Amino acid sequence: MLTRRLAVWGLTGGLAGGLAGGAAFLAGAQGARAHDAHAHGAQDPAPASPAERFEVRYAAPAAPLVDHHGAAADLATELARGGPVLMNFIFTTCPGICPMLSAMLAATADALGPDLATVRLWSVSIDPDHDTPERLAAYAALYDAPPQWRFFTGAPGAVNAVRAAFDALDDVKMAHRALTLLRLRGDSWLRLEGDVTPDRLAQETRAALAGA
Amino acid sequence: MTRPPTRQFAAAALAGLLLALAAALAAAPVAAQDAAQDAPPAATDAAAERGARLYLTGEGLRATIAGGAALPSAMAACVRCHRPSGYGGGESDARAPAIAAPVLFAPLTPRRALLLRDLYQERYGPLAKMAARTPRSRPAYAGARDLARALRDGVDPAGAALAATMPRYAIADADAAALTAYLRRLGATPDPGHDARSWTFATVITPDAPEAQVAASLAVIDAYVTRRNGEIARELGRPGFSPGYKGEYADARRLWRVAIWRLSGPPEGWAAQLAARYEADPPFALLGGVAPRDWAVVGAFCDAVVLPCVFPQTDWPGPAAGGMTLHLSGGLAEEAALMAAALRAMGARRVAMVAGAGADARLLARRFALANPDFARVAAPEDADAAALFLSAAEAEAFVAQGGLRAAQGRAVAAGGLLADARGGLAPSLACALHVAWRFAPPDATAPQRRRLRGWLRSRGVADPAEERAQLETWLALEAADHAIVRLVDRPSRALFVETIEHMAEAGLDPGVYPRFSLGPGQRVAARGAAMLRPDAACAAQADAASAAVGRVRSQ
Repeated sequence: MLTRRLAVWGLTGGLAGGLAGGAAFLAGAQGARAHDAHAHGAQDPAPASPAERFEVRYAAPAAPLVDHHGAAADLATELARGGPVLMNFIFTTCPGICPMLSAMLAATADALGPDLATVRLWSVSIDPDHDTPERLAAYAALYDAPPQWRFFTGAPGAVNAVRAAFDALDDVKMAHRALTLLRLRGDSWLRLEGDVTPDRLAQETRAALAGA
Repeated sequence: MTRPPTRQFAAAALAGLLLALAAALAAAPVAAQDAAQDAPPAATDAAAERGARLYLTGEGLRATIAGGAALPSAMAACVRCHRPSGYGGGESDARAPAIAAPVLFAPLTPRRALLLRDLYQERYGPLAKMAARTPRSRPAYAGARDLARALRDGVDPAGAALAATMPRYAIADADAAALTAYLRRLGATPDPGHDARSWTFATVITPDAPEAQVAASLAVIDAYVTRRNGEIARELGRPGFSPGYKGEYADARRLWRVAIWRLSGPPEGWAAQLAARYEADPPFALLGGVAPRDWAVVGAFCDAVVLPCVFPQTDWPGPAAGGMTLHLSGGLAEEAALMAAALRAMGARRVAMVAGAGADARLLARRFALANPDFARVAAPEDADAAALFLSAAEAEAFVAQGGLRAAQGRAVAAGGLLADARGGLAPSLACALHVAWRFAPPDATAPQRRRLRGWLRSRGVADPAEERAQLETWLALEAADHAIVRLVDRPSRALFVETIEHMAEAGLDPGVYPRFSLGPGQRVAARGAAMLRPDAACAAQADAASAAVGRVRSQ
């Protein structure tokens, strides 16, 4: 019985994670290449490998969510209003990629400057049982989140419906992938898997603004 | 690379030999050459304290990630990714390596036991697994100068680049020295509770624990440990035989001893009893345990001696945040909070608070009244908009039979933990009449894993259907510990033990007792999805299904 359970865990572990595209989250030896390729000297962080770029059509479900101010919202209604939306999936106790995804979104907001006024940023918690609006508000404060940046939680069913709609469902939160989405127009989204830089994201966002 | 490699390796060997002796290292020729290596010995305590703050809170740290984004200092704290144990962790494709003293200040060489864990028994993504397959080695970190280079420039002592996910820190020499002083202590001393042949655990029974629940729980411990130790004894008897690479984990696969710590007298005396038992024979962790009325005293003791406490059975978990106890659920207090929210949603202002004879019921009613001063307390249900019931099943039946429900305009919310039977069930008659705050799995459904575990209990000859919940919760504590202990391999760190359970709880521990079951880094309450059960139109059908299910189980 015990051995079998161990084996089952091993197998499901092997299946977890899906097909994250960016190589930047490699914890091992690839860092050397990334470092050498960087021209700005040793004080700078190694640059991100370019994320895979996909344009995909997604329809957000009208699932009831609540934001970090406690305001009810559903993404389908929110998206009926036009304009670029930057979206990622995080949880507040996340030990690995969320601090970076969030820092990246914060830096993108800075990089957008005055253009930020017409851009929305959404972070959806994938640990909704734990991430109450209060916890999300504290998390938002860590990043000095501007008013355009909202953090969403909700019933697990509603959050899972959103994740499923954006192909961002992982079986457990500890296997969650680095993913950034940018609504270009209508139901057309740019899907960036792996690591992206704030500059790249700001540039894509400005392009979306220009095209809208 | 400025220093010749031979000198690097000399420093590495030195660090390996003198792990606990930072002062001696500072006097060694290689380190003396680097003015900014470790802090002078006299300043080590203060430096380690400052280092602990940097490691744990990130206070004052400035860091950027790949792409140039700045990390808030709380997110730049080492502990965020490398975890309290220093043994690292991560999720999906982001992995943080071990930086605890025994690893950082020794040369790194590939280890098959750890590789197997990463490849087959952890929840990591394909890129992390690919990286794990790439053998990595580096010399030991000699001291603060090496650490500062890693933090500022992202290179290891041999000059090889660290992973791109490692932030770059603008850190002062003094802070790098402080962090080094802290890291030299982190994990340097193995935590107590084990010897060459065995792991020691204990389970705490408080005097108020019902004897049937205690007996049912202890029977599970006995069956689990007997079976497990039989397996280990067979392995030890055949040293060259290693099916499933078990030989790689020989260090962790030791015999288990589980001591029963029965406390006596009033709670004020428990701390001294716990301290005496701990002094005599310290366990590595407390597993399970039955402390229905109060875990706070035991929990405070566990926090004081940094002793992990895994899933005790209690209705009163006490303060949980940041402590060493991993709790099954939020207990009765969680139900009371749900009741208050439900009453507010009903628009109730004048609330009749009806408490039964039980000590739990009276205590919960008192706490409820204190926590919700906005409800006007009325004595009789006739004068109220709604009733809050803190009653046993029998008392609640009587309340309904005597017309209390009609008097409260049909609006009565009740604490499910007081209504539930020991099996974890709710009488259909009550489910149909009351709004019940329910923290357990839906009473009208049985999760598949629960059926499987029933089979385990029956096949071990210990099944006590009347105490099924206690038995499954005990099994859960043992199973969690079993997997986490093997994950330690030869790193007996209590912090790593807790982190491992946090990491894997969502991936397969759920025994079907609660709606959902999950933990995360630093999270302390595993049961999720407590909700109000509503008496609705489908109630009669549910009641039929529930009684049919009960009949089926009884006939098994």
